[in-house]
Amino acid sequence: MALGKVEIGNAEETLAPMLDHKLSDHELVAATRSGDEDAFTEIMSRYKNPITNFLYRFLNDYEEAVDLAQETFVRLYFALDRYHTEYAFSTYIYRIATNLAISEIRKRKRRNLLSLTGLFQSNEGEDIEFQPADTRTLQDAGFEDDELSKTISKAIETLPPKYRLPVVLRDVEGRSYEEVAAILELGLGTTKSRISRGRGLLKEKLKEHI
Amino acid sequence: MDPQENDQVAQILGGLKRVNAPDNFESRVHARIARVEKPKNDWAFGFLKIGAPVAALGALAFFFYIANYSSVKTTDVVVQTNTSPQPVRSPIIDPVPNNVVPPSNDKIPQDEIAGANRPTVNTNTSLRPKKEISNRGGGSLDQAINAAPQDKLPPGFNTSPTQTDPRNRPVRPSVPAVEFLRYAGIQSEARANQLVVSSVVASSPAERWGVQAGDTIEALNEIKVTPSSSFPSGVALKTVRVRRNGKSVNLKF
Repeated sequence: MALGKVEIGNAEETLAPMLDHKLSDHELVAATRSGDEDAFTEIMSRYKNPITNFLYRFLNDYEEAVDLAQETFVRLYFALDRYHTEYAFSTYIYRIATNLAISEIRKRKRRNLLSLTGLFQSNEGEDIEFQPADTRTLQDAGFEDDELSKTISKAIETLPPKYRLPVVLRDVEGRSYEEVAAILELGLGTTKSRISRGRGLLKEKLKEHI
Repeated sequence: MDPQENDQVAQILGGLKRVNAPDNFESRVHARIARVEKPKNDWAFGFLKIGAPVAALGALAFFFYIANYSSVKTTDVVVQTNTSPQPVRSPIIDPVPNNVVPPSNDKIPQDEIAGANRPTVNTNTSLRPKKEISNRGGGSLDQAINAAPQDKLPPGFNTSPTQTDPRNRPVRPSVPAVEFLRYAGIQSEARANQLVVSSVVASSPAERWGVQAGDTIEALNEIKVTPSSSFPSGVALKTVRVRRNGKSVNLKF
């Protein structure tokens, strides 16, 4: 809190305390580059929740989302030297998170190839998908994903990644079309087209709730 | 898609509850950063952890290479393939050129035939130069006949082993029975799956054994002979059994 004295005429006036100057993302990045660890902590406090939420809605797995969110900031820390201020910092960090999410999807596909599905068969000879018990724990006991949210989350998970990503960034995270296009390194028209297509696929799965 | 429905989907997604990162998020990120940075300072130790075993394996491999592949094998047998026009001496059977008639006054002592130490036979050097007689067992044709060194073996007959088996041991070629007999001085022809003597070279070993024209060769070295029979080169001819006037006659050196 800073106080300033300004002489107006013959009177002294005490100005209201000046508001703390909130550093911009770029200023925090510059401070981190110069060795200010607190600046990096501030970056984390600003973006840890949005990144975690984005990854959770994309992967539908909270523990995995937290792990990848931490990995996002680790990679950000070591890649700050390569960051250019020509585009928004949020674009940069969401791009890192997106790439990690895509890698995770690919790992899941490889794991599915070696899944135990074939070992489980019903009496009728139909394959039963092996589903391990869900032991995920959310960050606090108060958060309860209601049935609608679970349904929506499962519907999002069924979307192909190329539709899922823009839909989550636009509709869940509230990013603008331009920023979504910048994050995904797509053209604006392609981005809008994929968002529309993704919404159409979700509509089919969420008919009863619309 | 209906724009209204489009917006409805967007609203549904936007209404999802938001999840937050756990409270220890920052500390865990700092810990992960520290773990990533630590190996950079331990590069020397890390190098030793990898480099030392690799160097040990490389030294072991080099040692085995030196021990197994660089020693000179003394048991190697060099098989000389000789296809040059120069005469090749058969250790057992020497060629008797058809166009060379051995001197009739040559008499080869019996002890030579019997396989004792054989002196050099005094022959007409213009036709048959001296030749060292090998000290092989009795019955060897080269002990009875001095072949000129320049005499050539006929085509297809080379007692010098030119082939080797997979273990690099010399493999002697097979000699047809007809050729085998010819070098003993016996001209034969096939009749009804039998070899019949058509003529005997004068002063040849066959003549000395007593082979006569018209004899039917029944066996060589006690082995039954047919026109298709063959013998490994280098085999010493010890006995000949012929059929003469309906009777079997054993002829020996």
